[in-house]
Amino acid sequence: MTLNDDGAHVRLFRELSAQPSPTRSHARAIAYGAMGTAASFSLSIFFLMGGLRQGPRPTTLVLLTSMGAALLAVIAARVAWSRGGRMLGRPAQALWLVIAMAPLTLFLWRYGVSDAFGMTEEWLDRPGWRCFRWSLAMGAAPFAALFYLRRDTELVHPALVGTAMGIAVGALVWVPVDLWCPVAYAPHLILGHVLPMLIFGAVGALLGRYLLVMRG
Amino acid sequence: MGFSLQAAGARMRAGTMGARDMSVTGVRSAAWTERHADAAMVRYGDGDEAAFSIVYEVTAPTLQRFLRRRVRDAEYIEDLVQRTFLQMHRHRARFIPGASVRKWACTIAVRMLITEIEHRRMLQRYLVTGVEADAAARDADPEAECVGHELAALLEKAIARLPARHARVIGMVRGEGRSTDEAAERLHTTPNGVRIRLSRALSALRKILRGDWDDPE
Repeated sequence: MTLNDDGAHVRLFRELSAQPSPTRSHARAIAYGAMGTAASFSLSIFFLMGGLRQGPRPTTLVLLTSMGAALLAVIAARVAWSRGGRMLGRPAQALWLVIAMAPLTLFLWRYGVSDAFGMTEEWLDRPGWRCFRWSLAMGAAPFAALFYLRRDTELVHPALVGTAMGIAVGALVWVPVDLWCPVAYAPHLILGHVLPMLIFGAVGALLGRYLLVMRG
Repeated sequence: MGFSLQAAGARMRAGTMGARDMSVTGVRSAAWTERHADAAMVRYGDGDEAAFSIVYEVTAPTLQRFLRRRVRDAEYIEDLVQRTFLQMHRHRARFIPGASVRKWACTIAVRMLITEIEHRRMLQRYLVTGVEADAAARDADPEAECVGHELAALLEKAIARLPARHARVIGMVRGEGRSTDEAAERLHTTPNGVRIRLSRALSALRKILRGDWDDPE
């Protein structure tokens, strides 16, 4: 088949029609289905953990830390997951900003606000392993769903997009873990809350390189 | 379809553009054509199959011109154009209203070109380091087999450019499968001498394949 003759597009279209290709509404339904399932999975884990646990924290502190974290996480997710109205996705600088700033600002917010309430004392029996495990468990399904939905689509910097997506998943998971965990001792926050984000980011970088890139 | 954008473009350049070119499907201006194609891609993403012909009419010539500046093989260009359309078709739901379909198509084509080059480089390295390609995998993948044949021809040409002593040692050890002891006996040298000569020969071969070989002759 040559592409220059007049009937070329008809023949090409016939060949393309044999390939599966969801329309916009169909793709949207798949995305909502996948993300909805993943979110229900994460919420189930959250309630399995025991849901909201105020502990010795004042209500204002819980509200402040969780709402601030939610705002930061939504911003990170918005930048990392959407393409900003560009077919080639966000510029690398924006993705780097999410990767560098999301863990840092979330940590500083939680630690700073808790410190203002005098809630950053050392908890010897809470090194952070439980938060670490719960964070990974809660983030696994949204992470898998996101990478499934975005597979074979990235044209410019797939590894960077993968990293930012992973960090954003970690940022969103921070919110329910924040609601559950009353400990704001810095080493605990680093191990139980920040490290899972970084792990999601690192795995995202690897998967992005091989899974997100459009290969043709 | 009677209208061809390429033909219209040629008539425009020759100054013989007629009323037909200004028809509903015709060319008004480059910006108008691009907007028309972008809108058609949005409709195609929404499921309007008829919009594909407009996307094709505008994007195929652009893609061909774009690829002709990077690739010499005309058949390969056609293959890349078709594969680009296949990707656009598969990901049509991801097209963002307001984005440029031509830029998107060109970026997809470049990405596929890069992937192909990486694939070929990997195969070259695989062959040159002496590891035999997995025959079963090649049998299962006709495209890989085809690339394998191309690389074999490339390799033959590269070996022909090597100095005779290098070509001979590669032929004996990698081609005929002789041991270093056997090769050493035939070349009147020691097994270590064969290993050194083979290492130098393979290094030279890699340079030739990478295109940074200064022929000593």
